[in-house]
Amino acid sequence: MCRQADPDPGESELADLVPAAHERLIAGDRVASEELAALLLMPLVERLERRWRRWAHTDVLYDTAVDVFLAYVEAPDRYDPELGSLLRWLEVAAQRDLTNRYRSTRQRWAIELAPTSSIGDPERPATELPPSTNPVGLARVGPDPANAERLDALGMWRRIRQAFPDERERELVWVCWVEGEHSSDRLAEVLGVDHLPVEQRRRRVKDARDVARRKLRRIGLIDDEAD
Amino acid sequence: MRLTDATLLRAAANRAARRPAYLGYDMAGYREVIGEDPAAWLGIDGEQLDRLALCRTPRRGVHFAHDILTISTHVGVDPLALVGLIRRVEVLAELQWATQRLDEEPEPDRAPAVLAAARDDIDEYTALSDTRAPASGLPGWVQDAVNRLWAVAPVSMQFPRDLDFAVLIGLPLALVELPRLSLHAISEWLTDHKVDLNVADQGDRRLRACLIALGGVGLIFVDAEDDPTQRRVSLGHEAAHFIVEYLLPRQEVARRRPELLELVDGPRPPTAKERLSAVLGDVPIGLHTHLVDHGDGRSGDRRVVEAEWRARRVALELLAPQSVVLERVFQAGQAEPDEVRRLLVEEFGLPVSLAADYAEQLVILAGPPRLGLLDVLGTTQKGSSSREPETSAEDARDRKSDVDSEDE
Repeated sequence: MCRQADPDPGESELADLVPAAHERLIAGDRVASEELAALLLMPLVERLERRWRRWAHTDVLYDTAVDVFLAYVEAPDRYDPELGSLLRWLEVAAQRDLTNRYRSTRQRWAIELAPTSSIGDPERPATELPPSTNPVGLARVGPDPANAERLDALGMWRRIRQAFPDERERELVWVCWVEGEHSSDRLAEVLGVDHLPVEQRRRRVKDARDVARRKLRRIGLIDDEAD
Repeated sequence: MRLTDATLLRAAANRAARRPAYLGYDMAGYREVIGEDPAAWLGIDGEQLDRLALCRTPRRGVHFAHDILTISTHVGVDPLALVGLIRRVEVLAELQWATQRLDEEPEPDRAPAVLAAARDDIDEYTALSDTRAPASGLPGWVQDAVNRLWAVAPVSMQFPRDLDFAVLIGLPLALVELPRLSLHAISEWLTDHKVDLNVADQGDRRLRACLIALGGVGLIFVDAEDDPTQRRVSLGHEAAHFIVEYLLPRQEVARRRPELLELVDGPRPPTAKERLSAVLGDVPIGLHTHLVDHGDGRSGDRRVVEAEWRARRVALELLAPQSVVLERVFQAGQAEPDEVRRLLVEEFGLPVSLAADYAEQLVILAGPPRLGLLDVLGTTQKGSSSREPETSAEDARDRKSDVDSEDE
């Protein structure tokens, strides 16, 4: 599902320290969790940021990384060291949670609508954030709020739902044309074809993008030059 | 906005505060229940507090002391402050809940199920005359009480023996130090911490220490201005009250008649059927006393005098264990009362008046072996030593009370 990440700097150090701390955690040591947090959280976040560029530096990504880590500490024996490094195991778990979160329409709207709706103040200059708005929240995934508002007004989502009855297709549209993602790995993930061999995967992604582009042109949401 | 290591760990600590598996949950409880900053109580900075929050909460029971010491060393926190914080959260949360229940279900003409025992601001008082008989060994109830504490708490063989850490580790008690301790000051403190128990309704007076017990937990108040010797005795005395008058009887109810436990803590008086069940099971559902209201201990109230006597006996065993003191006495060849008293004051840190009483008993124990009844009669049992284990006044007292109970 996920491409193999490049080794992080200091990974050899992690390879020495993490297994020992994990063993102590299993044995009931009360401070191993704090040591593991110091060792693993930042590398985990960095890996996730590389994969989820649009969510990089956002609460969503940080919260997911932290929650996955905290849940591991509460049941450390779920991790089997035979299957790979703990960092990789946490990364896969966080990746799964982020994907689920991404796929959940309700959660997506909950994430994105807050900043979008919070800027609907005609008295406030467009360059200013509304009072009590968290800049981290505004930096969350999503299009430029001004565009989103315009697109909402155009009834874009209603037209997309009609043109793309398959949820995966709609996600593809979102990732390609709203987030601007070009990575075929990411798009393969969205389409659920990431398990296929590389060439086959790329072909499936290209075909799906072409079909989606044609549909978007047909309903007038992109012009010929846009992609 | 890009997170640094420190801000990421802060975010993790904040999320750990919602999970009971983490110490951060206890820290959040301290903020909520006590209304104060845990970093201020612990004397640490924000970074240390974040590290603490990401440690797993200490296991209660036999691992508690080890876990507290491990975490304290790792983060650089005073272990006594850490265990004090954890106990405060536990105890106050329980007391707030228990007193709310008492308020919700008030029972007319019935005192709340609270044990309150006070140590007045006067010198030592306790009837000890009946303990001056020849004695050896410990009576079972003293041993039980002492064992209850040391079963979980680390035993220090350094004397004078400070009991703070042991008491907080071994018993569900929180410790509060107030300057110029009085019933009024305690009542105010309880009100400030949302525990609705007016212990000063019978008037105010100065105290050295006080115990409030309810719902299986207790609060010990000590005078912050007392010298270390008095403070040590006060803490041992109130901890002994808690074990002997509250914890062990309550555990007995829980073990033998768990269905009656709600009578121990709740506002409801027992029904006739429950009274019968208690009598048949010989469990002490009427274990609650309100010793504060019963005077100063010299008033002749038998229950108060006996409770004080028991607390004092157990406190002595906690602070200056009989076997350890006797060993020192034998090593030093000090069998005179003045010498033993000096040993108790200088090495074991007892106040002079308490040491004097205790020394007299110990001198008797350290003396030559006394003849038992069988020796006197010259009729030793076959196969047994002619010197039977000697009998203490406390043993005799235990047996008498057993007989009394059976008679009842």
